[in-house]
Amino acid sequence: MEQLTQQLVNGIMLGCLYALIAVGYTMVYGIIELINFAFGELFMFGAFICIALTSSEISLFGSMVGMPQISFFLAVIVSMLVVGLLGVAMERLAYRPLRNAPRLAALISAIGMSIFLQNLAQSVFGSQQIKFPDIPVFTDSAGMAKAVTVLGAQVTYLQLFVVVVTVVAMILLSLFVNRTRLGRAMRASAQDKRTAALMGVNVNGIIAVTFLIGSAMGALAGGLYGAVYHFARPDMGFVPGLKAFIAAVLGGIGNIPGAFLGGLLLGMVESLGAAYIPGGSQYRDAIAFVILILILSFKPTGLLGSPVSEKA
Amino acid sequence: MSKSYRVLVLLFVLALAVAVISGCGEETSATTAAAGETTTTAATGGAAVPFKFGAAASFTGQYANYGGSLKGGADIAVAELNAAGGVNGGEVSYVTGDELGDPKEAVLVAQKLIDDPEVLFVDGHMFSGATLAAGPKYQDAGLPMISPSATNPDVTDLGEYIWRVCMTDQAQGEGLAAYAVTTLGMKKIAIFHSDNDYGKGLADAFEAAATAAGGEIVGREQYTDGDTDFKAQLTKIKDADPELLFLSGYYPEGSKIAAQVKELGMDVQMLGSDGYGSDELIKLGGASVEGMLISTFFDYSKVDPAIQKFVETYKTNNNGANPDWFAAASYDVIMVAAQAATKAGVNSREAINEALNGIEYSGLTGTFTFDENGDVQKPLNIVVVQDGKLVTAPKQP
Repeated sequence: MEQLTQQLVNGIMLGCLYALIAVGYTMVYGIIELINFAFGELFMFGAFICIALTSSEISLFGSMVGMPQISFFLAVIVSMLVVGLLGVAMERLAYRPLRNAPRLAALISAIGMSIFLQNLAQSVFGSQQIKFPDIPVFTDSAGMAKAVTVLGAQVTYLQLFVVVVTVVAMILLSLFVNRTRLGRAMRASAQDKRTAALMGVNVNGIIAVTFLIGSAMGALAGGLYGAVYHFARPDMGFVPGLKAFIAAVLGGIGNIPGAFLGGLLLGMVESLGAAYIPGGSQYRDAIAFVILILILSFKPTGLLGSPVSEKA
Repeated sequence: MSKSYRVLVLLFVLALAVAVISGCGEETSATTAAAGETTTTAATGGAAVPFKFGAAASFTGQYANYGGSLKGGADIAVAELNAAGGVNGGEVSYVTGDELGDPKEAVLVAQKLIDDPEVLFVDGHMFSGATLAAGPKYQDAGLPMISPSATNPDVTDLGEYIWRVCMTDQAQGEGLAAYAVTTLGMKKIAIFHSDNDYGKGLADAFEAAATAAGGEIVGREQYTDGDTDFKAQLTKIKDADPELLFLSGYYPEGSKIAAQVKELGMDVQMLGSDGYGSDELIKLGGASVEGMLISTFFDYSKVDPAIQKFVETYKTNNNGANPDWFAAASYDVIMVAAQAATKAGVNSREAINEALNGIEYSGLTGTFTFDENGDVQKPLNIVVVQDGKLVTAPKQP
């Protein structure tokens, strides 16, 4: 019983992190129908920027540079801003020129962007894994994570924080998309860019805003992921990026509550699969990809996705 | 969403999935890390045959620290040998082959080194997986390969040109099991190991020997290198309530495992395999690795003039970083090869390989001779993480 609660907690924690990344994926896909494979790299930059800002010094281009050592919470916000702008720049440089080109071209551009950003991170931060500094609020004086016991399951303060952030972010984003003018313009652009433009919507501007928010969510996820697992590495975004993509497809790509649900489900299935399927821990990644293949074959619109209308 | 696009995405994702599951999601890093070649040369010269060797390890990518250690140890050996007038009058130098710790890349690096006629032997490879892949190439080409750290038992079975200066996983597993059960008196033991050749081989040997010594294996789980979340497996282990958790793998994952063990509130003594024996573990793991016992073939805190001289030089060359056992083993590889060449009086692949048989060598990682298999018998050292440093553990095997 104790083990089951702990495994459920593990699954929820993992699921929240997947959900946060998946949201960015889903927003970008919803509006330009592009699977932004460089998303994992935005996530990675989010983690590195957080580490850089919260450390007293960090190795940049192989030499040690002094750093401001600001609080983790401030660092996450700064990194969301920086990565958000990086996402906008990426859209402007790599995707907008290809908006009317065949979709394959944009997809390849996205993969190219992903490789470029990963190599950029390698040359700036080095190829090594680096440590995420301990966050004082969440660690005790000995440097160990503070934790509480809930129904026999051990939950760290940081994990609780991640859950709260995820839920709040989901609610705010849903409200934003469904209740604000900007959100309405976003939905309109997603449905039909030409008609939206005729109605006075600045479609390019809306797409830029979507990239800004989506990429900032990626940075938030990266910062939290790095803090939870105490590290950053230039290739850290690859696997979580794929998992988030699966989560987004599972929930119905383009759908924000769907991304949340998909992430949570994927995290649960992975944790419980690894725990209770005999020999399952070897196949955690395989479990996720099997799920993806099943959805794409049987319910390509995902759990909460509405059937996508064919667009021009 | 058009049908053909959906099929395309599905195919692409499948391809990526295969790449990830087969444990080689590093294609992007591989693109930048292609064969970094450097040649280190030194002062001496003349008509004598140069004593040139290949250094094969992961110099870039996520396992770059291991290659850095190999190079750090090699640089000291090269400097010392050249200061003493070279080997058989030939100047000592080396070329590097960067294989990223990846078996596929290791084969390419092996071919490159074999094709260079000046290369007399190879200091490497470091990981068992890479060594097992590259070894047959060296064996076929007759280029002696001396691994500083490939511990999988199968490595030296590849042939008479394959040597190593570290103990096998079999020997280490048996030694650690005896240490855990007999010396420490731990009876309920769990094992958590990497699913690579090294992690699995060591775990198998440990499990068999621990059971034979009267210990009880209450849980055994595995993970894949590059994983970040280990909580599902660790929660199962926690449920079995072991006294000792034996960890078999490398420190990039080890530091995260240690943190998650603590986050799950597990009260267990951790015992790490030799792949954990590096200051990097402490840098990455922080407070969570405090108190962990680690097996190593080189204890840099030992009071021994040769060891302390090596430690000082290494620190000077590497911004104050302590050498790990990989650096010491790499030094020993070059020194034992140099001793073999001196004994033979000729700098050639064949002569060095011949002379390694029956050579008696005393170095940083102990005194040893090679057995008929190309293996060595050595003592096992246990260190403990104490106040952020690796120090000699109070109880030794």
